[in-house]
Amino acid sequence: MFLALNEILKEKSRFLLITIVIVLVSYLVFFLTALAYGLASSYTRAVEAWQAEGIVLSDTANKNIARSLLYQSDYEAIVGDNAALLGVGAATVDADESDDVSLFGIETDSFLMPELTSGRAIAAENEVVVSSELMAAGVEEGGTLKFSGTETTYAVVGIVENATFQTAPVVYMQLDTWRTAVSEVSGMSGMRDDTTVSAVVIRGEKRDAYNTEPLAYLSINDFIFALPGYQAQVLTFSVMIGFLIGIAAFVLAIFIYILTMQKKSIFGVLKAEGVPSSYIARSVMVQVVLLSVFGLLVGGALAVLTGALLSTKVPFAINPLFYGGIAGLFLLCAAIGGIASVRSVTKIDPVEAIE
Amino acid sequence: MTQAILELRGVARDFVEAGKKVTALQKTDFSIKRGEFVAVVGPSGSGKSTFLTIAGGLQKPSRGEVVVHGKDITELSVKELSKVRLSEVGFILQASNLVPYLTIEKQLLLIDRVVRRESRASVIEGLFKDLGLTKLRKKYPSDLSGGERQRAAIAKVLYGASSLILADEPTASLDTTKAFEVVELLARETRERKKATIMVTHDERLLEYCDAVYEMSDGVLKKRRGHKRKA
Repeated sequence: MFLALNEILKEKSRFLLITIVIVLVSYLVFFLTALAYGLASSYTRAVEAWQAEGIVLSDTANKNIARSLLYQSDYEAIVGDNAALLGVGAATVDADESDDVSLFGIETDSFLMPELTSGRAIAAENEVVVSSELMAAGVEEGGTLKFSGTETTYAVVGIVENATFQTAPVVYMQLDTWRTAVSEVSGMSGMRDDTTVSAVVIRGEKRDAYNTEPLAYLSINDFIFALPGYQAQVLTFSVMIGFLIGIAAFVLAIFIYILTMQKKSIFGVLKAEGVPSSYIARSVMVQVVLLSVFGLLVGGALAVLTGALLSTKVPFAINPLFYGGIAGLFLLCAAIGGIASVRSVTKIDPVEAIE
Repeated sequence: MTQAILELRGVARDFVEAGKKVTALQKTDFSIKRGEFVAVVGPSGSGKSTFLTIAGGLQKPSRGEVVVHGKDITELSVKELSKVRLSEVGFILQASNLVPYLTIEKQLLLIDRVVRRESRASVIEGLFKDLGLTKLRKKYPSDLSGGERQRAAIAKVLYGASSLILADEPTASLDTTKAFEVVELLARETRERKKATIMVTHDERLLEYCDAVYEMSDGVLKKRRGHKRKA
């Protein structure tokens, strides 16, 4: 402790630079990880809010919910408390700014009805509940919204926190409203069949009936991975972030190693004077851990702060598990760098140090 | 108290260099008592360093025994030898062996940390006063002149309470005036504090402060006859 702290006190500017390096590296890694995780979860946040196990699409849809259409005759045998009807569509909201949105048509008494952060639930036709992201585009609770290319106005009655599907904020509405909206957006008047839905979302165990023609059952996990672009994106980012973390951790280990090796001659003299290797080793490790923990904390805090400042512009989401893992890995690598240098320090021949 | 602080009995040291056995230190008998200040002179490569590192428990002799305070340390483990050095041996090196990032005062406090004992502020104060370091106690080694650094190194050795002081060319980086000052100080403290000091040096002029002078040549240590200490 004594050596470690006094060295830091004496060499303030040098240790400031060293700490800055650790801060920046961890800032970079923490921030990019949260961005990638945020992007991935912006594909699926509204889906995760269902807390469902599976989803039933039409078997001709090839796992793509945008192409899936189910009619009453298809789904009447399976609907119930644990199976809720869902209509999915896409539109562009015309507000102060235009913004692509996902449309979710739901039965408002089913478990697909999201938890509101403000406002009230949907009670009538052409009433919608929107994701909080849309507020940045000028949509307000108590106001109205319109979809580009259509004339219908919808009353915004409630707000849901961060509900996104395929990165677009979700607009929730009744199934009937959904049918009209979706057909209007694509330039048609009404659907061929007014029992049409896109999918049935399933809670609880899978049943055979979910998977009999013309129905195709998917677990929510499979469904998410089949979302267009999701898998490619998650894979790309995982590899990128993985490499980043790996290389950063390695660089950190080398950095700590070199930092300590520079002091080899001083440690050699101390050893010659009879200072036990264990004392020197402890002081090296205390310094390594002190610098790393401090650097990681500041880097993490910076990432969280930046995320908070940019949260309306970019998908930024912190997964405590990832952060904990990264911090743990960095600490481990710093410790390995420290231990490696301690090993060579303890092997110093004091005779050489003296001569 | 006639017991020697350090005794080498028939100590020799061989090296293997390029497959050939080289004897760096021939069979040597040597002893030094409390209050004695001796010098070892000789050309470089003559075995002075080997002698000093064996005397200081930094390396083991190939033959013979090393006895510190009546205790044979020849067969001690690396760890035990390190303990002996910590408690019994103080080194003063050519380029001072101060830790660059500790103030002069903390150089001394470090010893207390390592051996886990209470610091003795009054002892430190007394030492600094004796060695003219009081004003420099908050300075770092890099702020000090060469002579001041060696004085600080002496303070460190004296505070460590080691009975045997080994000085390896302690004046090599000093000008004549400073060199004399440092050696005079070392001689005085050795006598006053009843230490035993062995100084390896090139500088013949410094020998007048020593009680005895040994000459090292090709691994053979011989006491110089007729040497007299300056009163």
